[in-house]
Amino acid sequence: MKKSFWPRGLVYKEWHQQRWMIALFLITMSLLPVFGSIAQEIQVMTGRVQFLGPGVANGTVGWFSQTLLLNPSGYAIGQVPWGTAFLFGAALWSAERRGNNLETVLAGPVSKAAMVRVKWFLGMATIFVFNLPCALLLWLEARGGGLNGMAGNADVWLRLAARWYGSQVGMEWLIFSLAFVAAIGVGRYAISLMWAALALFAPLLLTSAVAFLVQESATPITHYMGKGMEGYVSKDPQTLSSVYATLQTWTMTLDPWSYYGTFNYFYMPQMLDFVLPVGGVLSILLFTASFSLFEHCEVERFRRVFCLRGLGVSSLIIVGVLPAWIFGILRMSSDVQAHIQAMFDHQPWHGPAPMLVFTFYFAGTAILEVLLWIGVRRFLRRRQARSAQVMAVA
Amino acid sequence: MVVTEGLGKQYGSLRAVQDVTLTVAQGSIFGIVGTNGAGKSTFLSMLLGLTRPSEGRARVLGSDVTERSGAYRERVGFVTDQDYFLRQFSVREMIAWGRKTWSRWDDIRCRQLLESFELPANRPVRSLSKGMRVQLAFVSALSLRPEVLILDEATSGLDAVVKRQILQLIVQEAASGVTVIMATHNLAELERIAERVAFFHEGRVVLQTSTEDAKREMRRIQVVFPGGLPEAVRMAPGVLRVEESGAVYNVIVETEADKVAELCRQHGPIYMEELEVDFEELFVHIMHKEGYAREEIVLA
Repeated sequence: MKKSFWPRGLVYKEWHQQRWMIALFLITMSLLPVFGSIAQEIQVMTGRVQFLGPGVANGTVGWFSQTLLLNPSGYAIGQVPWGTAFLFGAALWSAERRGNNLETVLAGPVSKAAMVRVKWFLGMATIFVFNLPCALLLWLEARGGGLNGMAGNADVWLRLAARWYGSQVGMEWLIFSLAFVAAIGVGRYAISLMWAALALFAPLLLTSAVAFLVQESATPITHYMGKGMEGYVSKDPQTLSSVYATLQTWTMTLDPWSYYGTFNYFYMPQMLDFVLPVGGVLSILLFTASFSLFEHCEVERFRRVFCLRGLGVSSLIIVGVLPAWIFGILRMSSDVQAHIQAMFDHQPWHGPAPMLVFTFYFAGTAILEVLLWIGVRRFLRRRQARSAQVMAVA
Repeated sequence: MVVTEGLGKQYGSLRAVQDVTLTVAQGSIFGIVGTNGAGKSTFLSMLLGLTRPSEGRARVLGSDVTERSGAYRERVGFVTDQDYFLRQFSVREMIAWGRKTWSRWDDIRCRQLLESFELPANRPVRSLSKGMRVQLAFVSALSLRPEVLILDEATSGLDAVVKRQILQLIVQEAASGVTVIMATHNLAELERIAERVAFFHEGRVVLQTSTEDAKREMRRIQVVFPGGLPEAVRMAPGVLRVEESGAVYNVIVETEADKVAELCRQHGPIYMEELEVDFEELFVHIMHKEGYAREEIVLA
């Protein structure tokens, strides 16, 4: 009897199902430095970039790689594979919703545990392996030239490339595992992505909401003084402003767009070293959660919601909260924040009014989405009934 | 061998299966019949470990169905009319997947079956007709050399030629020691091949008997009397129903068939023959007894 940690049938099946996603991963990872360099060269050649930084030799091949390794937060392109990891984690389970895939597999000599294990390890290994050629390419490009003084110093660039690789892998593991556990809960691709996004952004949302409330209770003294909180003085400077400042820091840290900025190499190089172990440990915890979740969820015929039934409707509530996430992210920009505040300050109402406006906006959005969903469902049911009628006549 | 003791499954307030206790002997063909929604598929799903029982226990080939590893399924073949396939796979890939999944996989047997069913190896499973998909499921289930074969409406959607081919295969498998559990709405085929049968209704087994005993329980007495059916016969104890077809009367007798036949003889019939009732008649009767009656539909 075949009993192995890696049931061959499962590995074969996963490879067949996920090979295009794995290929996408390879492309987004391996071509990152190539695309980055090409884009940079085009910018230099077209004169869009005049000043590349102190000591940087313009137009050199290694320029992009060097600046990326030195300052990972400087390039959003480095975060493209994060998105792929996110999609990959959910895709591994959403593929099972087609037909009776899950039942087909579990009707064989395959345990649920083996299924979770193979999928998770496949994703983790893909991330681990496919980031490697990317880091190697960045290292090879970086050592080729670019920054004066550091050019040709292979050891420095190797260390930086290794650090970049570790942080990328740690971050992608975490994002992948989040999407993975969310997808086990719901199965549907889009809904599982939304749940994972909620898990990823929930702390941001919460801190933003609390920060917003604290800010609302403060008295604005001017709108364009500077960035964010400097424009406000709390009614109780001893407590409220300090709370707000703390929350603002947390929010900034949790904001995915400024995430890398917080762990910037120049300011907090040691933080990058922690991303891999922390990401690894959190991923293992999420893997254990996936394991337990899938083990306790039943595979029922005709009831293909994985574990949490009726999540389709509750996810609409999350969709309703989406604008809140967007708002939470937008408020990171001090300009936008100042403009919004200025807009409200010119109105006769102050205080909690803006919060009410946003509450109504979110509630309205959620209601509209529910109505839209009911409409779409009715349309689909009618269409299904019509096609069943046609089939019956045929 | 398959044994269940007080097996049940509850979905919220709905008791899909309740208190099912039965034993299926090795090498026998066991039929499961019942109305739609009677709990047949849920019962089979529990035997496969796909649905966790809410109560009772079930053992397949000596293993508890709730066993986490599912190792017993190494020796269990399963065919259903539902799409139990990896739809993105071609026939060849499905076979390759089966070979890698089941250690008992028999390539020679698989090739023989593929050739006899004339299944196109390179076609994607999703593009196969329903009948072809069922044939492919049979190829997979029989290639793993099962000791237990679970069939859930497996022959529905098949043409008569292929159906006969498959029924022959099932009988052959049983003869070689494979235990077959077969849920179907096709009572005629069950009557032909099953040795024992369980009638399901609202999740319960309302009758479990051998096919011979089941048929023996009811009798059809076909008679022609010169002056119509005597009232004494019509009202005799054990007479369930009388069907009239011209001068011919079909007296369906539930019990005491010998006494009713003797009564008929006493009234001097022109023609009289005692016949076995078919399974469908038996099934409808049992369902009527259980209160599952349906009005005749008359369309305007």
